[in-house]
Amino acid sequence: MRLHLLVCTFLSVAVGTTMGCNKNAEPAEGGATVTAAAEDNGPITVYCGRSKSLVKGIFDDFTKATGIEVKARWGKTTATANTLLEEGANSPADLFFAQDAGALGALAAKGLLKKLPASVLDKVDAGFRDPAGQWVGISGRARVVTYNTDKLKPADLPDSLEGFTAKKWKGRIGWPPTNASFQSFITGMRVAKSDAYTEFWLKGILDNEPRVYPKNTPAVQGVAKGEVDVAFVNHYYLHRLKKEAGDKPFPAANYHPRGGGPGAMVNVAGAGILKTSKHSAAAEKLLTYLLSKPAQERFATDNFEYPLAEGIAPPEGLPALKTLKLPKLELGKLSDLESTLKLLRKATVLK
Amino acid sequence: MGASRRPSGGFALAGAAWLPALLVLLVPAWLLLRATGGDGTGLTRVTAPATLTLLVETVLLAASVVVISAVIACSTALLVARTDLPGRRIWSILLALPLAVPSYMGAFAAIAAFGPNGLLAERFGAELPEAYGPVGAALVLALLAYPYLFLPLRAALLGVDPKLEESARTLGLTPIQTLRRVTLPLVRPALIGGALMVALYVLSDFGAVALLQVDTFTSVIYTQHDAFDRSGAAALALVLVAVTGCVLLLEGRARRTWRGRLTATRSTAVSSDRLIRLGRWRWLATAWCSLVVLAAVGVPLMVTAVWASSSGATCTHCEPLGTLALNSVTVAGLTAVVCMVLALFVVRYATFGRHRRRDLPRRLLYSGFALPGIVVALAMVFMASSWVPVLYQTLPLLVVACTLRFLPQATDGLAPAMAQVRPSLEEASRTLGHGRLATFRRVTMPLIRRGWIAGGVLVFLTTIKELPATLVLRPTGFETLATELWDLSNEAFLGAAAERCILIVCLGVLPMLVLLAREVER
Repeated sequence: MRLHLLVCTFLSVAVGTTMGCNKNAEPAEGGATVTAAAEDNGPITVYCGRSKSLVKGIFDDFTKATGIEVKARWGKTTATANTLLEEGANSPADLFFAQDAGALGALAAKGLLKKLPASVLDKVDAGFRDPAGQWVGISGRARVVTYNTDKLKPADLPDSLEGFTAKKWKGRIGWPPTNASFQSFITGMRVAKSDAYTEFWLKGILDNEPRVYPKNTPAVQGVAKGEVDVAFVNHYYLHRLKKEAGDKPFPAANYHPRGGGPGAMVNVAGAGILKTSKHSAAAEKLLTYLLSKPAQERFATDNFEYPLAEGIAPPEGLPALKTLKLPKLELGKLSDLESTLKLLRKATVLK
Repeated sequence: MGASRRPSGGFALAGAAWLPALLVLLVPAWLLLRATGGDGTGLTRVTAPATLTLLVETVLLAASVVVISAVIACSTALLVARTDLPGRRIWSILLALPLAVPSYMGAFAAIAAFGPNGLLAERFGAELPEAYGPVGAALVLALLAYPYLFLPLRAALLGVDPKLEESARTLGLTPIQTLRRVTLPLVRPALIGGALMVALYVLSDFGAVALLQVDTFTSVIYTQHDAFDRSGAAALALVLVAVTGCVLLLEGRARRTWRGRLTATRSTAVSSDRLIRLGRWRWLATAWCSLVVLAAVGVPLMVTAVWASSSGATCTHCEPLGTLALNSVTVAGLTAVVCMVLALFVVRYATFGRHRRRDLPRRLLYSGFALPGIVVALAMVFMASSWVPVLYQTLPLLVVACTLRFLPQATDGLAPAMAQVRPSLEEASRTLGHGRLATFRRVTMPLIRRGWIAGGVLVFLTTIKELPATLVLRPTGFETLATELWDLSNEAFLGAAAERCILIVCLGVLPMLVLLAREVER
């Protein structure tokens, strides 16, 4: 009996404290713009949802150039964003570098991010940053159709993704529906078109019995192996796998839908500064550096991503951003993954 | 001096036994908070039709994995413990090795090896079906999890007093009848306990089910987190806690219904003339054991070795392998030691009492083992960052999280051993003038040592493989083999990733080899 009482007391205290703390979890409003203190030399803690192999070199270059130490925590973008949501006002993070605009949108919606100064925001086309100025795009990832070049020529491919609902694509499509980029793309379709259109398209593809992949890399490998003829993925996986394959044949290529539409959208990897940051001026310097010419060129040459700062050339062999027929949509709205998930479940794409 | 006559232990024992259980209970408390938070739609997930489908699929998967594991474990355990199988001591070690294989590695290997374009088809021209789907997932998970049944079963078989079986034979029972009516009831507790661990392993696994495209509570909880649907994820995790509760109730009931009387005889070696002679069946038996080990350990190692040897992009940003291995061993070693110490209190408290509620802390701990790693990790993030920021993102907190996840493995190893320690034995020692510590060291420890260390080894090698909690809770800049493997496998660095994967398996196998080799020598 005594033990039962003990457990109950402990639990009620625990729950009570938890609730109490949660009330304070929303960080205090204030500091609408970041005021740079020139002598802020960090060190800064960066929660990085981007892969270490992609950006560690760039952080090292930044430290060499400015003397500001970067303490990076590498992790999955969504898990990192969830961590930041749990930390709330107690976060030790200064900057969040996310793989996806959706994660930044989720943090911005909870009021965890600071408004960035115009000097940073203006480096990037308005289409690739938060309209409210709480995060900025750093590099771009285009949605593409990766196709098997042994089986298909570009002329065989339809003008837009709608064409893939035709019967002749039955059993030939691969997609990664649990992947974050894929879900962002579906959110993009919802925002650019409508929920009804998106559901209709999803059902059309489902009727063609698409092969489900856990993420982009195996989907692109599946195309090259001939498991499927086409896959709906991001553009750069192909280039990385081709580099990895070296001299071995890798019979796959990317197709940017010539008719445009949601299938041709360009999502961004971006960054924002936490309101809890004690070194926001130093964090702002890192943000500026990420948008500078040397860093932007590294995203292009090392990672095959699109540089987003104005006036820097795209990676070799890729069509320029301006030549792609981008759908009209606000990337800030890609944070509404919740509705996308509901739709994906309704269409039985997800359980 | 009432304590010596009352082995139920003092207040300190109760406190030490309840501490980890209460910490684990904070996780469901946090889940309740999250499930009712947000826009309040989270709890509607509990009653949604999709959740029922998910429940059925998850339970079916867990049940089939338990059945397949039981077939593998029973057959192989009988072979190594009761027959003249050639090289059966080596087999005892080999058959335990799958424990060192991370589930994501097993699943990756199955995907790469099978299918019309898989490595096996390429090498041997065999047209094999694909690994994706519930059947593939059940087989892969069973091959990875059966040692949770094999090890206790083998120990129990070796612990059965051979005289009992002999008497049964002299009374006219056939070998099969003896097995069914004498041996099986004696090893039933081991069977039930092992089945429980296999079931919970399936419930909490993410790596294999995600790669093999099967939905379970855990994989859907991950998807919900990815969509920032925190209340939905928490609601599903609460359902998972309830499912775990049901599994535990079932297990408890099974134990009470078929209560076996485990004899206290300690591993009287079964002399070779009592072994079942396999005769010409021994080649079939060897083939069966080979098939199991080859599929569970051979294929993953082979596939990973192929990747490791493929040149691939060189990794310029990687930490030195030595540093990574040291970090991994530090976390796993500390977790194993903490788990072993806590297990002593938990099991001691559970064993020496008359009331069933003394077993409650031990049973509550299973929920930490059954919950997805990300759930335990995010709960720790919330609690540590708001209540004990000093500990947040430090090694001790990571060890606490891993302890909460894996402590049941240590208690499971220890419990059967502790059950053999008769209070009268310790009382005799106390009467003869030995202190409490001396009694523990000279009477209790020799009896429990084997099971105690075995539990610690199990915790060690599971922690080496652990990824989700380590990724979220590790100190900033602290990389382990598993975290870097995860980072590399996301990009086109398969070669470097494969090296780390093989090192994880090797580090897990080493302590197991030492442990089992010592045991086999006896």
